[in-house]
Amino acid sequence: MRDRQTHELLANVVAAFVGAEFDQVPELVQRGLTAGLEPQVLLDDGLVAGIREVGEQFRRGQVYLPEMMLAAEAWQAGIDLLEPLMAGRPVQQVKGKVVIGTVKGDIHSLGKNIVTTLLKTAGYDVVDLGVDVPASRFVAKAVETRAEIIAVCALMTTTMPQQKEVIEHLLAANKREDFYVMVGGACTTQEWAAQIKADGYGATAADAVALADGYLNRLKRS
Amino acid sequence: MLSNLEIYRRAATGEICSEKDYDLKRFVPAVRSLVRKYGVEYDPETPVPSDDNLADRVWEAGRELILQVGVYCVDTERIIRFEPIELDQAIAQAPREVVVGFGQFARRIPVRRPESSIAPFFSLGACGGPVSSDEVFMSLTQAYAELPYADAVASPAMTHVDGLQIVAGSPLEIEGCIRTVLMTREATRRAHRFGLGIANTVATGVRSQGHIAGNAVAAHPCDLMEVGHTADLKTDFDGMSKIAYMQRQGRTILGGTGVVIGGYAGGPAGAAISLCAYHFFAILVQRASIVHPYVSHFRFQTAANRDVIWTTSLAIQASTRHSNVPILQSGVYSAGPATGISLYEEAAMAASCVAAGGSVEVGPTASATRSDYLSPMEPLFAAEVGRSVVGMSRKDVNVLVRKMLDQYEPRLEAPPLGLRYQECFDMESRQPRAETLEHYRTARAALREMGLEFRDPPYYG
Ligand code: B12
Repeated sequence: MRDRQTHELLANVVAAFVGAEFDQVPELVQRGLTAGLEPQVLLDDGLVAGIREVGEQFRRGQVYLPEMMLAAEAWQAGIDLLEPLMAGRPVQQVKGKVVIGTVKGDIHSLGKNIVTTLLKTAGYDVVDLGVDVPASRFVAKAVETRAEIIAVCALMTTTMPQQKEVIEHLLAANKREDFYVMVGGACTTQEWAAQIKADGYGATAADAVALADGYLNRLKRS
Repeated sequence: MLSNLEIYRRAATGEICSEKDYDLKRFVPAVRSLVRKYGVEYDPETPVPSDDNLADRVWEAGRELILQVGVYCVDTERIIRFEPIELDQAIAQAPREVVVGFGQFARRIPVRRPESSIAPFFSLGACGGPVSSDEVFMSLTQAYAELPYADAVASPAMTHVDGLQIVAGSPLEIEGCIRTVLMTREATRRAHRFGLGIANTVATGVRSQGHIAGNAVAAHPCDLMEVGHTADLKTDFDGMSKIAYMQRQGRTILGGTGVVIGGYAGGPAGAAISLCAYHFFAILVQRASIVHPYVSHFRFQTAANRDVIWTTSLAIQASTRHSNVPILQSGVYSAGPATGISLYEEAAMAASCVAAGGSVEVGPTASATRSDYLSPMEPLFAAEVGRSVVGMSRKDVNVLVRKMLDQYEPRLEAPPLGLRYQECFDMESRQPRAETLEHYRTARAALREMGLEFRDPPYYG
């Protein structure tokens, strides 16, 4: 049985996420550590439980992108406190690494940010290259960071060809087999993804997570 | 009013701030606290609100928002700040009632107020919806220009130049932009309405060089050019370059002010406040003579979602009660042509906008996913409905819009794709095919049943 104080503290961490009082999260984690709580407990029943709740709120349409992004930052701040105390063990079970960006010529960022946040909260290490990203940068960054997945976002008819460019750059570098490539963004479709031989297409950010999970399962099996 | 150069000076010398900090540490908390401070609450039961006090609070909150956070310049990573007196001067000194088009077809965009009995202005067209070929471009744009209620046309986005796919930022984009204006003008001539203005001249263009090329080579001084922004209350050198060009030429700017519900502004209340802040942004930063709000939703790709209707209608009421700069709302929809649903979406969007004091632009489906999923029917229908609600009270329009929402709201989760222009219309005669006509007749009958009295006889059929 957990004592009342522990129980209350963990509940407060979750409540800080749910109530969008994100500034409080690192403070509460620190208080927990000072009170002698196990880092693993603070992680599982505090940070992870809290961010899951925010994910649920998002799915129910109760909170929006800013809450998701702020929650992810608070979560990271909490992890940064726990990490040095975990004696070399990685704090989070990172499922895999994703390099994401919006293609060259395109500065639409909101959808990409939502995908990034959902992937992060689902346990992925996400490298966000931002917007207006040339095809070669996707490839270079994925190679450099040893990512498994490249997620390419485009919102306009005249920038969709840049998604194809990413695939062609991978082929030219003889690295197409090294990465899963998923595409998405308002004007893209399943047919387009098939036409350019991407590994998958997602209409929503939740689809992006499902696709990523699928790829990693396949990797594990092979 | 502050000059364009002064805005640039502030962008070059203002407080340094990272973009992420501006978004998450300045903009987001400011919007949230203003929602609370001004007691702005979304009421889904009243998609078209009629509470003047609420509209005035939203306006004040929007004014306070831009004073608090300023405008972010992405290229200099600095904040452009304003003083209260500068905002008041902008509202007092902004241009009003600009003319679009020339000769016989010159049209004034009127200053309207909520429940105004002045007829709105209609910009009808593909408005950036992509088309696959020059043939579709010409027939479709001629069909738009022929619509009797079109006060201006909005051009489609070309996807190919002589069979080569246009890539943003490439030389093909320049060529595509120039052809877009030339072909749109030719379409107005074929429609025997030469002189009709082109709103948003070069929808094909993504970058300023394309827009400037299209305007410099092919546009008339009385055509409009849209200037956008990056995200919430942000500007960049690309947009500022277009403005510099347009101002030098004495041309009219359509200030696109887009807020995404579910984005940084949060829910409908925050989005409405943010849209009012954008009114000042449009006048001062974009140097707009017409404000062009386009609200979208992070889940639903339409201007006719309930949250979007409330947000836009409220913000337009707020703006038109306090400013003389006319509003041209962008009205995209989610279901494709010849599905019936798109007609109800457009009807609800147009009715709520007109009752709020705005004028209407009807464009493509919101995500503009596939080429040629466009038709003149949606813009026509929006205009017919918009004209019919002129002078009606917001309360009555609210009742009407709720009935319209009943018709389509459940279907917004998975809107049907519909048909291509060449499938739902005859490209040569530019007339609707039988099935398309049937949707139109059914929708008109349904709206009459809901209590709407059409001002005009049906245009088609
Ligand atoms: C907001 C917006 C803008 C804002 C962007 C702000 C920002 N920083 O993001 C601004 C004002 C900058 C803008 C500018 C322009 N825009 Co714009 N914009 C939009 C709008 C209204 C909403 C986009 C959005 O954020 N939606 C909400 C997010 C959450 O949805 P989403 O991006 O689709 O993402 C979701 C999914 O697609 C998916 N997803 C996204 N990415 C990925 C990636 C992967 C791998 C996966 C699996 C899934 C996935 O998950 C997300 C969450 O569920 C759309 C219309 C629309 N309704 O889509 C037009 C739209 C995309 N824009 C358009 C245009 C034309 C432009 C401009 C050229 C306008 C102009 N003439 O200046 C400029 C171009 C600027 C540039 N160089 O990029 C057109 C494109 C038309 C076309 N077919 O080419 C659209 C479709 C509007 C239209 N109907 O005409 N725009």
